[in-house]
Amino acid sequence: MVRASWFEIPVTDLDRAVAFYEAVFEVTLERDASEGEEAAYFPAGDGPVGSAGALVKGDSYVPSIDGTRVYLEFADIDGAVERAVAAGGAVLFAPTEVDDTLVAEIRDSEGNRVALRADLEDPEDDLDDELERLLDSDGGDALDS
Amino acid sequence: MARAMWFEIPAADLDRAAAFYEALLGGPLERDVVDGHPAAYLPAPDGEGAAGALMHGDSYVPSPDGTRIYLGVDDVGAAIARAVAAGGSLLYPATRVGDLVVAEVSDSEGNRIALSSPV
Repeated sequence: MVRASWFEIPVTDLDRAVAFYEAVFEVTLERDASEGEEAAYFPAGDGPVGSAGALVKGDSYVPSIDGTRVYLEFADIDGAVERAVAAGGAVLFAPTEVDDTLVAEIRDSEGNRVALRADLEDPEDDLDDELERLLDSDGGDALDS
Repeated sequence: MARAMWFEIPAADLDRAAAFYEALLGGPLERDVVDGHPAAYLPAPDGEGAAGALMHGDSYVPSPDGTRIYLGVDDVGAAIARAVAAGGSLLYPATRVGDLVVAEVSDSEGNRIALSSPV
């Protein structure tokens, strides 16, 4: 049993990477210097779902298109992809529906592959499903009587 | 807010990778095929953090570089021992950082994986 409690995206130019991620996700990252490594934290939000993370610059932090992939939750995938391209990134995988999610992959300003994910399930679908169940059970009762 | 809701660890050999993570985590991985890619889910407890899977496919290339995830474990030292016994190697020894003990191992596929536990 395991969950990822934290993620780090490696950068070679922290200023450039912060500008990129702030543009794509329309957020402000918090800069910090810990353990002699330069870092910028993504806003953690309310939680407690998912994992927060940071951009980190340091000797062992080498950007790559390969390796582990994280899916960052973001409602406006199409907008994020457009902003990523405008900010110096590229589209690696165009927005595509996979099960109940919309996913896409971009290359960030540092050359990392980053996946984006949005939940497509409309809360109203749950209400419709519930209504259908109620109608079905009513129908069953009517047949029985 | 840009929180990670899911992660994928690339595997060149999914059977080998599943055996490694089963030894590291102490539980069976459920196999699936996602969008045409063979996958093995890492069992995830309820609660905070991102769940994830091992993935095999053309775009899934293992690397010690790129994004790093910290997997929460009960005991970093014991997890390192299980990782090394299962064919991994130690990249960064158990080190206290604030309220956490962290370490990094290379998995069976050559990915850099960070481990963390409370002190």
